[in-house]
Formats: sequence, C-alpha cells, structure tokens
Amino acid sequence: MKQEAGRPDRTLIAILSIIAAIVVIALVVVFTRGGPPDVDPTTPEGVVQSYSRAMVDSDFESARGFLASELLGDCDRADPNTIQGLRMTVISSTINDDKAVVRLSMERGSGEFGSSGYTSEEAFTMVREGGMWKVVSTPWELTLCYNQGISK
Amino acid sequence: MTSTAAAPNTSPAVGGVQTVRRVITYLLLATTVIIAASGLSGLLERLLTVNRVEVSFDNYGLATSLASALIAGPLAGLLWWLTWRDAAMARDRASVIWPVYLMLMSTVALLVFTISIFSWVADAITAGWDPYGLAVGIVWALVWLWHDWMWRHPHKGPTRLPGAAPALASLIGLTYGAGGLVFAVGRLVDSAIETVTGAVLVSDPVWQLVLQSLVWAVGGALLWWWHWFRLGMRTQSTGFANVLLVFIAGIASYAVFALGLMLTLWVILKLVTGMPEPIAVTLDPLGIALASAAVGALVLVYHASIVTGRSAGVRSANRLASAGVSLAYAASGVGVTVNALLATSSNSIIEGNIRSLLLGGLSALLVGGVLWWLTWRPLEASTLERVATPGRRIYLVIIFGVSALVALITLLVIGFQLFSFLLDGGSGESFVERSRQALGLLTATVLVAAYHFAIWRNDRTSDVAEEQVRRIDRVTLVASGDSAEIVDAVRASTGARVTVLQRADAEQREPDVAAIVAALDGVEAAHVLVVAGVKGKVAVIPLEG
Repeated sequence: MKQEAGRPDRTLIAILSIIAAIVVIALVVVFTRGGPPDVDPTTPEGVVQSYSRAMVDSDFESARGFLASELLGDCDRADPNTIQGLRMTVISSTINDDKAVVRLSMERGSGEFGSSGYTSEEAFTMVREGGMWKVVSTPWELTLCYNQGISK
Repeated sequence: MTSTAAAPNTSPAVGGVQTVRRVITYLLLATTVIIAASGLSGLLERLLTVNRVEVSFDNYGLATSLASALIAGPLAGLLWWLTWRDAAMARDRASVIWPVYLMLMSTVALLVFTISIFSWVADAITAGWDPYGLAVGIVWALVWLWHDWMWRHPHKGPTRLPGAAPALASLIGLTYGAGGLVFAVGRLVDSAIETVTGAVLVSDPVWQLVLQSLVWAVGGALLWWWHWFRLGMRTQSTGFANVLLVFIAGIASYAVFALGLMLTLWVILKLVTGMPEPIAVTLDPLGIALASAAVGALVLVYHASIVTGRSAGVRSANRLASAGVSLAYAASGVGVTVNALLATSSNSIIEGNIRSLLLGGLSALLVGGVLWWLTWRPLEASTLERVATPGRRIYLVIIFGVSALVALITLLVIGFQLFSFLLDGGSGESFVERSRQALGLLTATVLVAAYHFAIWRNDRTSDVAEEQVRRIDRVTLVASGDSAEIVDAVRASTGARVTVLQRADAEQREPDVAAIVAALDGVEAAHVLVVAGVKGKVAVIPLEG
C-alpha cells in the first residue's frame, strides 16, 4: 500500500509545485513592473494612449488637445463617464495616407474576479493634421463630444 | 409526511392510458388554478382600493380579472372535484404525478405568496400601510394552504415522494432567512465602515434598510422553523430529505461561507499591498463578505451537526460535496492567477488593475485550497479506508465530467481567438490578451484532472472491491411490532427501498436483525419479499418485477 500511495502523492507534489511557481512568478511580475510603457506619441497608438489616459484621469482639457479640428469646431460636450479598471491592448494599427485606424481590445471592470469584466473589440479612427495624428472617432466610453464617434 | 409514508396502499398506480389522463388532468388543473388565482387577486386588489381610486378607465384589466376568476375558477373547481373524488383518488393516490403536481403547485404558491407578503411588509416600513398590495399575497396564501392541506390529507395525500413539498418549503424559508440576515448584517457593517471613511453623500436611513432585510430574515426563519421543527423535516431520512441536507450543508452554505472568506481575504490583501484606489472602493465588498462568512458558517455548523447523525452514505456524500466546492474555488483561483500573469505579457497602452485581479485569484486559491485540504485530506487520500468511501467513484466521475466540459468550452474559445487572430492578422499579443481567461481556466482544469486521474488509477490498483452494487431494488418486509431497526439494517446492507407490511397477529419470537440481513446476502432480484416468520425463521422470496 505504501508504494501504491506513492503515485498520487507524487502527482500532488508536482501539482502543488506548479501552482506555487505560478503564484510566485505572478506575484513577482505583477508587483515589480511599473505601468504600461509610453508609446511614441508621433504614432497613432501613442495618440490613442495619451488621449485615453487623459480621459481616464478626467483631464478633459488635455484630451481636447488630441481631437481633430473638425470636431472641436462644434463640440457638443458629452456627459463625462467614470472609467474604472479600463484595460486597452492594441490589436492592429493601419495607416492609410493621412488616415489611420487603431483596433483595440477593451476590457472594462477588470480587477474583480477575472470573469466579471467584459471585453470587446473597438476602434479609434485618426486623421493627420499638421504632422500630428488627431482623434476623429473613439469608443463610446471615451467620447468627449457627442458628434464624435460617427466615423466619416 | 410521516403519516402517509406508512399508508397501506404503496403499490404503484396503474399506468398506460391512466398516466396520460393524469398528466393532462393535473396540467389543466394547475393552469386553471393559476389563472383563477390571478383573476381573484386582481378582483381583490380592486376591492381593497374601491374607495381610493379617483379616476379609472381600466375596463380591460377588470374584464381580464373577471374572465379569469369566473371562467377558470369554476373550471378549476370542477376539475378538482373530479380528481378529489374518492373513486378517482383511490386510483391516483399512488401515482407519482399526484405528488409532483402538489409539490410544484404548493412551491409556486408559496414563492408567490411569501415574496408578495414580505416585499409588502418591507415596503410598508418606508411607504406606509397600503392594503392594495396585499391582494396577491392573500390569494396565493390560500392556494398554498389548500395544497398543503391536500398534501397532508390522511386518506388522499400522496403515498410517493414523502416529505418532498415540506422539504422544499423549508429550503425556501432557509434561503430567505439566511439571505435576509446576510443583507441586514452586511448593511450594518457597511454603515459602520462608511462612518469611518465618510464617503457616502446620499443614502436611505440605515435602520430602514436593515429592517427591510430583517423582514425577509424573520419571515424566512418562521417558514423554516414551521417546516423544519413542527413538521419534522429535521428528522426525516427519506432520499429527498437526504439530498436536500447534503445540498444545504455540503454545497450551498459551504459555498456562501467560502465566498465570504474569499472576499474578506481579498479586501485584506488589497489593503496590505496598498492599492492605488480610494479606500471606500477597496472596502466596498467588506460588509457582504463578513456577513456571508458569518451567516454561511452559522447555517453550515447547524446542518453539519445534523449530518453527523445520519447514515455513512449521507456523511460521505456531504464531505465529498464540500471537497468539490472547495476544489472549484481553488481551481478558479489558479485560473485567475494565470490570467493575471498573462495580462502582464501583453503590452497594453492602458493597463487596468492587474494587481487587484491577481489578489482576487490568490484569495480564491488560498481559501479554496485550505478548505480543500481540510475536507479532502490529500495526504491520506489513498488509504484503504478512504478508497472504500461510498460515493468516491461517483465524485471522481463528476470531477472528470466537469473538467471535460470546462476544457471543451475553453478550447473552443481559444480556438476561436486563434483563428480570428490568424485570419485578421492582429498582433501576437492580442491573441494572448483575448484568450487569457480561457487559458487560465484550462490550466486549472488540466491540473485538477491530472490529480484526480492519479487518484483514480491508484484506486483501481488497490485491493478494495468495486463499490457495493445494489442487487435488490425493493424489499417488502412482513413483520410485527416495531420493525424500524430491521428496516434500517436492510436498507443499509442492500440499499433497497423497504416497505413494511404489518402482521395482524403479534409474533413473539421474531428473527433478529443479523439473521434477516444474512438471509438477504447474495440475493439478486428486483423485488424481494421477506417474511420475518414464526420461531425466528426468515423466508426470502424473490418476486418478479
């Protein structure tokens, strides 16, 4: 019986070691890294990052600076959203002359138990104005003007 | 009920066309009773507000109520008279459709009546007394009393599924009671925290919210007490009552208790590591967490003490169910931890709160892991005694089944994300980003399945024989005097359902329990007649069918 009991015990030890390794690595990685790296602000992704950060921090004045001039002309201010636990990862970024589309996966409400946040795929459209990329349309959570978000 | 369990006519009812007739009759009866009750409650509502309504043009509503009450009401009465007649009930009483009808209708009526009355009382605390809202509660309370009376009728109550309807009613009461208590205590803790953090600007008075939850707690407790103690659900040991007990003690209260512990630990870990979020947000789940842990523990401890007095099968099922619940918590904890780890691998431009996610996973893993260690006791999992535990193989098969299901779903998700990544040419990070939840769960499932597969293989090589096979389905015992001890012993040794036929003549020298059990050893038949006979002799007669 001693030998027979050996097998599940070995399996148990192996599994516990795997779990312990996952936990230790996750703790070290998550708690030692800083925030996400700053993306080059001359690229469309960089503008999306700066604009979204400003919106998450409720810094609407800075956010206005990233909007295209056609929007700013008649900006009908949207009700500000409170944005918590937003997570954005770039899926792809396509540049077509002076227009660009940045596709992202957006996860809201992460930080609960993994499943409660919901993820969807969204897109920013951008236009080049005076050598800088400017935002034309955004996902609805990050809109600053009501008339934005309607891609032309 | 206990009185009907010993009723003389326990043979199954005649089937065939009679079964179809019964199904149709009781379906019609249930439909007409529900329509009539809704019509009556509509009429009663109007009666209670007759001197209050200033302007009303709701003729359609009144017409609906009148039609429902005056057409469905008499039809329900007629159908009930047809089924309740002595001749009809003599045929239907032993059919399983009769208790199923009563159980469904009385549970529905009980739910409608209690929800309506309790929310009426809770609203009355804030909005004042308004008889208008009572109509639904009163009508459905009468429907419930009517069905409860039929269930307990000594001559016409069902002979099958003993105690099922009252057992469900006690579960409903317990759910209300525990739920109400959790919300009341949680609200109190929350308001204590809020006075410290001072973050709340607008709220109803705390006493009001607590009192409203307490209405449900007290109402539920009364309902539970009536069925559990007064109607004796506590001492019932029918199959239905045992399943219910294991569900309460081994699964439901255990899961609530573990959830409370896990949320509390999560809040503590977030406080210790200093989350970059407002303290009021961090402490938000603490009230419900502490209340769930406390009330879950209360319900758990009480029911665990009842489980210890039950048969070995029930005790073992309860332990295995708790181990399964703990395992589910621990496994989802592993899944969330892997998920958080993978979240760091993709370069997000806005990161979200990975630390909070990781701490959530860790708290689930810790709480689930410790509880699993205590309930499953992995160090002695392969001792002979444990391998022979009744229900162990069923438990392992359920684990494999659930693992296979989770693996299938997560693999489908991962496959979908992989193909959409290949087809739309996104970045490599986006694949991990979009499938990390599924990858986490799949990892946890693989670990769970691997461990239990090792246990399974070990069990098969051990010396313990296959689990006891039920060779006899039913035993009809002819005995005199008090045969409870014999019934228990026969049930324990064969697993068969036992029916007792009392002898009219008192037999002085009945065979002892061991002799009867020994006589049944090795017998294999669907139905066995056992006559505890003259001068200590036992006659065992296998029957057909």
